[in-house]
Amino acid sequence: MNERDPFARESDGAPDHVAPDHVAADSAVVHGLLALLLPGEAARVQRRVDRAIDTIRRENGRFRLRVRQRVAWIGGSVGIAAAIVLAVFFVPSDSDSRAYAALESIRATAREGVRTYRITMELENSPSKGVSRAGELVLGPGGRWMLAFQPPSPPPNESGDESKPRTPRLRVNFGFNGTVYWLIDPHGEVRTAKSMRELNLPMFLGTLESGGVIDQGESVELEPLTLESMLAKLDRGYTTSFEPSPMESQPGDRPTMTVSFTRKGTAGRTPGPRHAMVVADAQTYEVLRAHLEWIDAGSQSGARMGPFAKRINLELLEGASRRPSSQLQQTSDWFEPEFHAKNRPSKPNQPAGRPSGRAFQPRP
Amino acid sequence: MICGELPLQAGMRAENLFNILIRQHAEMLSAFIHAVAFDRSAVDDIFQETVITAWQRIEEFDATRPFGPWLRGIARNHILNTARGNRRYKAHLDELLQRRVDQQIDRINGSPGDTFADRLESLRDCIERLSPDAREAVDLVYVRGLDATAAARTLATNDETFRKRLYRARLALAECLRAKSIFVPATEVPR
Repeated sequence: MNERDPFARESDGAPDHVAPDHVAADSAVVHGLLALLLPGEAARVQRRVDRAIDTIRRENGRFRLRVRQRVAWIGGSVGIAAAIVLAVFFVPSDSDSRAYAALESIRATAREGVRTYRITMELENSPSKGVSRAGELVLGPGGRWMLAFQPPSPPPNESGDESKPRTPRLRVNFGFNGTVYWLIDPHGEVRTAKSMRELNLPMFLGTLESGGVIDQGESVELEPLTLESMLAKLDRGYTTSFEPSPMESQPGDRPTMTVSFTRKGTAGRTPGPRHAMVVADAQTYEVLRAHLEWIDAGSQSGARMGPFAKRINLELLEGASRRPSSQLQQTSDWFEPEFHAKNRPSKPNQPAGRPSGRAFQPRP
Repeated sequence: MICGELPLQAGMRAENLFNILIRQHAEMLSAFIHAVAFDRSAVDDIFQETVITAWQRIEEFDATRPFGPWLRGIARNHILNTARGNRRYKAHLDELLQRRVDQQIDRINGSPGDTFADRLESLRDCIERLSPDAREAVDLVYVRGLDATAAARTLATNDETFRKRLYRARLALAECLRAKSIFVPATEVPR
């Protein structure tokens, strides 16, 4: 008995033991309710939950559900960011438990902060063979993201005359501000929509969609599914492996960890990548590089109506800890279409960043 | 369609749904553990063990039944485990008492309010109605966070006197909550 415990009932509750049961019980309940009124108790309750949930996630290898496969996901929770950068991988029961633990840590880290990645995509089934796209992907908290990329170069004219000045190539910006998806096309037109499919995506993004790497941004938290029905759907997966990096090869190198994924099953069963690999900082769990490859993409091309991604590579350009605080203050603006429309270079005969007004509605 | 979309979303949903369920019941569970646990210092650990056990056994949960009582049942087992060897405390946790505690907490859960804390508004009103002495005791321990010894010293009285005063204050609050129909009547036999 802790004599200093204000809630201990050995002394203060001595009458409990002679009182009728219901009196003692009601007194105990009142004690429990009053404890909720203690200063800081609400925060303590939240910390209890966070601690318990974190423990479950961290040690999920020990706390397996009785299903054949487990699901893990890393990266942001919604949107293309999660889909492209860190993607979604099953962790079957025979996967390396260290890989699972690493993924959980990577996932927790990815929820916070703002990071910029260079993204390179190699497309297949495109009118231009071997075409690739490059851009920058910015990931923010709350599932927000922004992707900026260059549209395809116009084909050189047949005469090969390069003397004529070309129209500057304009960027396409595309993002999710936590509420709506938005797109600024090469002509400066801003469109917003509650789902990505409503955006009338340009070819490149349509490629992503047909390539099967776009999450539709469904709010999983609100999905009223039962655990049973969810778990019943777990029937396919990936084999994962974990590989810590050797000691620093050069002074100053950051130790890394690599988690590799190999899809189980036969080609064509799923549109997901055949192989994937995530390299993360072993100390901060920040994703440094990611690689996704659809090596069996050709076998599926006939079923696709357009170009699709064969390989996607990501490389961290700016991590959360290296971003200047001045930029962090602009985080909210950064994921808004108005911010990018305003900073877009002007097209001839059109004011910079002027929304078309057709579908654009400023957010309140 | 994203790679493995169904399993991904299933996994996310399973984890998120569990997370949401726990957060929805966190205040209730904390109040229950505070009410029944032997030692306040054990509350954090019992809460953690309860949530982890709930996740481990989630497949055993009958989704047609309420989540709160199931969660409290797990908490109760953990509390009993911590009380092994303490016969007096085990007596404190006898079945009738437990059922009565469950009955009262279920009653509060069923009262108006978006959250469990919202439903405690009546308790605050009852505190206001306490006698000055009783309110002072409640204030010292449950608002200012003093332990009983420090509170007794503050009031220039001894521990035993203060603890009895605090106990009577709790009984008065329970009576007030029964009068407001937040608690079930004393005459109502637990299920």
